[in-house]
Amino acid sequence: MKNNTLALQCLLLVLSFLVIFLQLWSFPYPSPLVKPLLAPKERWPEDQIKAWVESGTFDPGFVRYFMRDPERTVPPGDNLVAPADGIVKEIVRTSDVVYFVIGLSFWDVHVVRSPVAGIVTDIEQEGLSVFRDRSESASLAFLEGKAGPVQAIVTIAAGGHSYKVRLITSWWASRLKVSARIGQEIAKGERLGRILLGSTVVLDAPADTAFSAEVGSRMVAGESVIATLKTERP
Amino acid sequence: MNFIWRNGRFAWPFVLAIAGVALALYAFDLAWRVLTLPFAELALVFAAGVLAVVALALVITRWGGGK
Repeated sequence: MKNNTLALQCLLLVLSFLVIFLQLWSFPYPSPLVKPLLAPKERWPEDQIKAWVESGTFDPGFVRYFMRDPERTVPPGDNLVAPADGIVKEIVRTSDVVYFVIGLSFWDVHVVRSPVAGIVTDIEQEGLSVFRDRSESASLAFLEGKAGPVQAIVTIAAGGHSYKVRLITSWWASRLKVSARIGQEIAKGERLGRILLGSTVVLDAPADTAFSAEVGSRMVAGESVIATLKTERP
Repeated sequence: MNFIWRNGRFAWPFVLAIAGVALALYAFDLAWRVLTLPFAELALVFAAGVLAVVALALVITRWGGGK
């Protein structure tokens, strides 16, 4: 009886010390005991993800979550759909074009989709920067604050108009993957590529595009309708 | 020593105090992530809880020893 009690006590003490060790070892980040109970944003805090980016070593669980690529139900009709998951940061109008800017967090799906059905006419992807004309970077406010922005620009011709989807990240992340090909006929909501870590997707649309989505609203790529296309009468 | 080892086995107040500390650390970590309360306030609450558990263990030990 005494031996059974002692064995039980030893087991309890070993388990308790194990819990204490795991809790203190992973501080200030969530311990492996707590992680399964947390939502993604709490399970992998921003500070921890930034530390992984610096070191180049990521938690496998976070990588599996980050690389998810769920199917989307594309709404019918003559409309533009959001090219990326995230929050609408701003809608910038100029005389020639309107920029629809979506900011992606670490926990958003990073697969970029075509906002409209059309034909891919151009893909620009040139190393660290595609700003051949530095004045472009000066005029694009959504690129301010980006350390050496890297972008890939996919141009899609649709309904007599030209749309550009910009996949943008910073030089230290610097990983963009475009799966679309020049000349490809692409469907609305079809995958264009993927940003392999953070930050922004911008849609360049004709200046007269009337966006129904508001700044601050959450977007779901391929599903959220952001504007209705004007159909020209024959 | 009476608090840790007694009659050829660990003293139950000691075992339960260690288990209590482990449970408190786990609960604190979970609460901090889920409730998003300020770290300092939450830490004070849990520290007080842990101290209460340890104090209770000591009282039970002395009360058991005084019998």
